[in-house]
Amino acid sequence: MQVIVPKQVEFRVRQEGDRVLLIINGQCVADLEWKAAEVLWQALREKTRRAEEVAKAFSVARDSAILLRAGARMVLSGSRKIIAEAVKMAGHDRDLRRFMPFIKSQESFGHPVVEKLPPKEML
Amino acid sequence: MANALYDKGREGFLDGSIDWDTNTIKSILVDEGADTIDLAVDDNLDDRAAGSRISTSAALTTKTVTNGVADSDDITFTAVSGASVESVDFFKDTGTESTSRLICNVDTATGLPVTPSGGDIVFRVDNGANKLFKL
Repeated sequence: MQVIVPKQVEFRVRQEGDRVLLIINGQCVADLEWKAAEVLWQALREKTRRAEEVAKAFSVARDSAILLRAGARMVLSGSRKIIAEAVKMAGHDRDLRRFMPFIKSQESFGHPVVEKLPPKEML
Repeated sequence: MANALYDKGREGFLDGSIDWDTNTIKSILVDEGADTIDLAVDDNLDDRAAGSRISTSAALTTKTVTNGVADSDDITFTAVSGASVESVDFFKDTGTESTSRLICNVDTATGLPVTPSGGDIVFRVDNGANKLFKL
């Protein structure tokens, strides 16, 4: 049997003059000038947000479903899979249907007139 | 209340069991003192108490569905007598009450409620954009 133990990663970020060093487990793995470090930081932030969205996909879909159920035409993710799941939840989730039962219909009526005519005379 | 589609009527349009311009659609004058309208629960004509049906029309004529707007000729209920009428139900007539799907209930109209006096009662459909109703 093989037991997989998550690796403990110890990392530090150090600044030396106009350079930024990324040190992981005591070894310098990146020595970047400040502009390159900034590009890396932005890429990391972008990927981190996407990773967080995947990790919290169920919550994002559920919150989006609540918005849809409430009538808002917006969702909280750009992911097609999450949007599809949100739409499915908004329509079919038992709890949402129970606690948010009212989706106001958009139908509209004209204003009819009911007219009472006098009885016809018997000949 | 206000003019509204029955939930099951709405469902009928979506599942294809109601076809406004080809099915036989009729309307009834309803005495709400003899029955309570429940838009969420009532589904077929047998949910409307017989005593509440003051008069039933002939089949609606010249029905159209253009742009999702339901229209028809004005409806005449002939020689109506009986209790006060508070609303008008529209339903798809299959010939069997338990399968004749209720479509909508109109309780907001000029002239309602009306107390019959033996003469005809005419339901004049709005000539504006929404006609009878717009989905």
